[in-house]
Amino acid sequence: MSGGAGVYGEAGAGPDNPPVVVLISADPRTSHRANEALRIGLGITAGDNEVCFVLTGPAAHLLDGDTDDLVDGDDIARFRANVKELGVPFHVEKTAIPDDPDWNAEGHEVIPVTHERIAELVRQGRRFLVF
Amino acid sequence: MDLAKKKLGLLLSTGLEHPNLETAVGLSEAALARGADLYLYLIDDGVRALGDPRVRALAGRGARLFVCAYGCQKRRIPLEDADTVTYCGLVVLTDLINGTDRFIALN
Repeated sequence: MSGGAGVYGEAGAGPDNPPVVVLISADPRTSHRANEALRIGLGITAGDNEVCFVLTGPAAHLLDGDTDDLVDGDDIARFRANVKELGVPFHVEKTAIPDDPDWNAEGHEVIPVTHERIAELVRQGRRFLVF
Repeated sequence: MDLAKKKLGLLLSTGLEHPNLETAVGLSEAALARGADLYLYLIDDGVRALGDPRVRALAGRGARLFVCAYGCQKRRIPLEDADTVTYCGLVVLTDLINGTDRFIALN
């Protein structure tokens, strides 16, 4: 357990804690914020927290096979590879998954989810980061 | 509700032009006025809020002010040698997420 901010108290972390939900709807084709959200979520995951990534709408393009057309595409490729190494799945809004056969060419674990399921995931979280 | 010594974490990731800044400043001032411990983390475009005098003044009132060093680097914002600002990475943000009583992200 790290203590860089010196704030540990009654709400301390632990493996039994509910996840931090990182919900991304920013479009990585037009905004750097989708990549930033991925980076932040990855950083939180590295701190021994369970993180639940939820991609809605155009954020599903974070898993595009070709990252050349994405803002900060090289970073996205690197960060999502790290997410894959950690075995953290992406919950992706079912209706937002692109038809492109090259989508998720790297074979990241993807869990297609409905709007109702996304609402459940959010209810189960203890902290929320929405981009 | 007694907020004295309660820990409030605030994350701000938007820039000076975004209304989130007003929200962050307002929440911060209210929390400090009620005796809460305030931890403000500026990230992404939020690092530019360091240029807002109201944000600077929060540190003088007891807030802990953290700024994403990576975000500053990407925007070529020079790091200051200031006692009131801590440049840091996501480990500290994780600490805030885990260790505060309430955590609000303004994205």
